[in-house]
Amino acid sequence: MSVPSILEAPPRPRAAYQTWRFWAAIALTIAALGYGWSVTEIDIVKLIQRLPNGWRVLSALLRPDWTIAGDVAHRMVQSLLQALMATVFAIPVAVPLSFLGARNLMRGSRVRMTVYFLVRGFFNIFRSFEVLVVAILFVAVVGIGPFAGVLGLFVHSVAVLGKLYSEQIENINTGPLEAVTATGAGRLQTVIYGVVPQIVNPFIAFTIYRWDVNVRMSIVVGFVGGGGIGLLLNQVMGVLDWNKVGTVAFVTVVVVWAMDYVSARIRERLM
Amino acid sequence: MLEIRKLSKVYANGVQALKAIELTITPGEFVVLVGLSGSGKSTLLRSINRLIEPTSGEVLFYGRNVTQADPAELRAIRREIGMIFQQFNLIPRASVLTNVLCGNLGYQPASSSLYNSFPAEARQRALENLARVGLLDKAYLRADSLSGGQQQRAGIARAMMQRPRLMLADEPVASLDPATSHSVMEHLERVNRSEGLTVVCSLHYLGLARRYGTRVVALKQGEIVFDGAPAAIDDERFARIYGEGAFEVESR
Repeated sequence: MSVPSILEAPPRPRAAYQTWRFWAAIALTIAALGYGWSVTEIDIVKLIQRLPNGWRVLSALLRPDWTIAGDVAHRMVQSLLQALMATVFAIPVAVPLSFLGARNLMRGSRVRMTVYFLVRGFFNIFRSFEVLVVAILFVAVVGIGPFAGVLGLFVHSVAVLGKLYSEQIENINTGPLEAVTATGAGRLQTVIYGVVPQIVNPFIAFTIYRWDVNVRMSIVVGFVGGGGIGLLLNQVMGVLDWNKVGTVAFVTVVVVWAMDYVSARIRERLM
Repeated sequence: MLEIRKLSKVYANGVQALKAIELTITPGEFVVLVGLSGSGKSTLLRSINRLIEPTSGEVLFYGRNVTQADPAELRAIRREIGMIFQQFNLIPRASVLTNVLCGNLGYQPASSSLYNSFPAEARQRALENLARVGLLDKAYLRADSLSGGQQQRAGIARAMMQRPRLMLADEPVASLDPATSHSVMEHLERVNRSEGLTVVCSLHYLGLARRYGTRVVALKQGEIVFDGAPAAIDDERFARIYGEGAFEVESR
């Protein structure tokens, strides 16, 4: 069989830069950037003029005021525990919901599919509400303090974990599931033996990751009244005490970095 | 013992995998299904234990209607039909023993669902079945640490736990090298000859079909084009099954 010559080859598809859509997109992006520049009031000159200001703040941040060290430590622990509580309490709610939100398990009857859509809807709504907003709502309900923070984190965690868990369930290998069904096992047994072993490790990994994220979020949530170190940060920033802000920032950075590292190592072993 | 009447299956994408198949299988046979990929072998096998829902037709297993069975009846039928798969389909992270014990699930009440809670009698039988396929020393290892041939033998042990009256094998050796393929096929042959367990097995290689089968059923585009003794497949029939220009690959 001879190699086809250029003349016989099928027509070459057009490269991206040869289509009008490509150039239209470029033009649109440039226009958006231009408009954005003015709307966001970017002013490089102002930034350069005001740098000495920033230097003053920065040098204060780098000279932490350790007199409040005890308070900072106490608040940091509070934030860490907030995150832990919210995550741990989210698990028994998110896990059962996730099975109801997994399409491959809920397929088959109209009733089940309705439940599926309701559960998924719930996950989507509470995932899109920023934790900040939910936390502020809870502050209005139970007042300023760590409880509002825990509630905000909890609700958000249930939604995020629920969605992650159910996506994991939908991604399982169907082979083992088929084999267990073929032995005559009932529905529940099929889930316990066919589904659960495949999802346990990913579930744990997601949960640890969520705890890690919640620690960082608890700081933000604290800022709006949810207690913990975020609230302290708000207070010291409010009086412009940059040395104390430096203390808070330092402790926060160290703790978050440590958590990040530990959680990454644990997840590595699991997956 | 197995009657398949006018079995048809049309998939959602319009493909007609089975066209009014009529087939009767008597106890003790070792039936080998052959045919090109896409000829309907897998669909036919999975229609027998209703892992796939047929579009029309019936499957009768010892007189019981599989296609019309309600969930409880279906469970009872399925536990008498063992099945092994091309991809072995073991639970990768679970131990080999737990995998084999899954074969007993059909005999346990649906509510007994604590993980790894099996009756002592079942554990004993599971160990015996593992010993029979030569995997006793691997009982507590993770299933995914076994080689392909070992995993398939574990699959056979799992199926034997069900005390089945019929064994279905969906291309059980397609992922294995020739020597291991023979080893697995020999296990199937052994349970067929020594215990009279009826086997319906789909295979790619005609050589294996001739060596182990008592009867060959060939499918082409959803229809049976040959049904008889393995030795009766001459060149002309071979071409009819696999198409002109196909030639036989030796699997020694």
